[in-house]
Amino acid sequence: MEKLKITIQVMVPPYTNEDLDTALNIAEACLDRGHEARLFLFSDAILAANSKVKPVRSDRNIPERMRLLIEQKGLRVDICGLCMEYRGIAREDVVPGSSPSGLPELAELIVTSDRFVNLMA
Amino acid sequence: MKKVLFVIYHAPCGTIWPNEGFRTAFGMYGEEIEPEVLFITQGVISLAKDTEPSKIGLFSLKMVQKYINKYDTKVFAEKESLEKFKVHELDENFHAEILTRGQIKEKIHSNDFVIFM
Repeated sequence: MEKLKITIQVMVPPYTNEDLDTALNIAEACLDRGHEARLFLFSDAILAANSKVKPVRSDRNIPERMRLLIEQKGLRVDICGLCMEYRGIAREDVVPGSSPSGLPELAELIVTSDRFVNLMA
Repeated sequence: MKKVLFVIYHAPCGTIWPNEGFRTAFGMYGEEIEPEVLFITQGVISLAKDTEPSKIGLFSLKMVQKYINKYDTKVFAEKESLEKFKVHELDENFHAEILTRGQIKEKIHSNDFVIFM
């Protein structure tokens, strides 16, 4: 099977919409099948990478799931750096293994990806 | 060269997406990407001559126009949405081309990626 590079861009907040859950589900399925999965967080979606969020026990811990996918399955996560600054999220706040990034990196991902999915509520 | 169509469907007052759509499109020019911007549904109100979110303290939309000129970014608006939302006069500084829904189907198929914002 041909290995594909699949990028998923999310633009909406993680605890208002459920697009982040969808993105992580798609990414995990891709990784499990041997593909390369990249996640690009844009606008309020960057809040999903804040490792300091404390959801109630019954809710999804999205940053923690993201961390596990990075560590255990090789998910790569890019975060819009300007969007972070807008929202007061510092580099040390984000999930380990994720990377502050920007529009040039998004453009590069679009050019180099075999599939590009964007989730926008 | 990949072609990427940014489709904006949110209203210009109440969301950031018309502005962000343009800004993201402009951010593509450093790579081998040809971006285009299409407005549908309430998004077409962004292109009206008398739409100025900045008049009520919101983020200016007109500021993108100098970059449209600089990069010669192609802008499109859906005819049926313009009629539905009674947008009779477009701001000529967006240089928007009006497409019918049928033409938009072709436009979508002619792009490598379509990003809804």
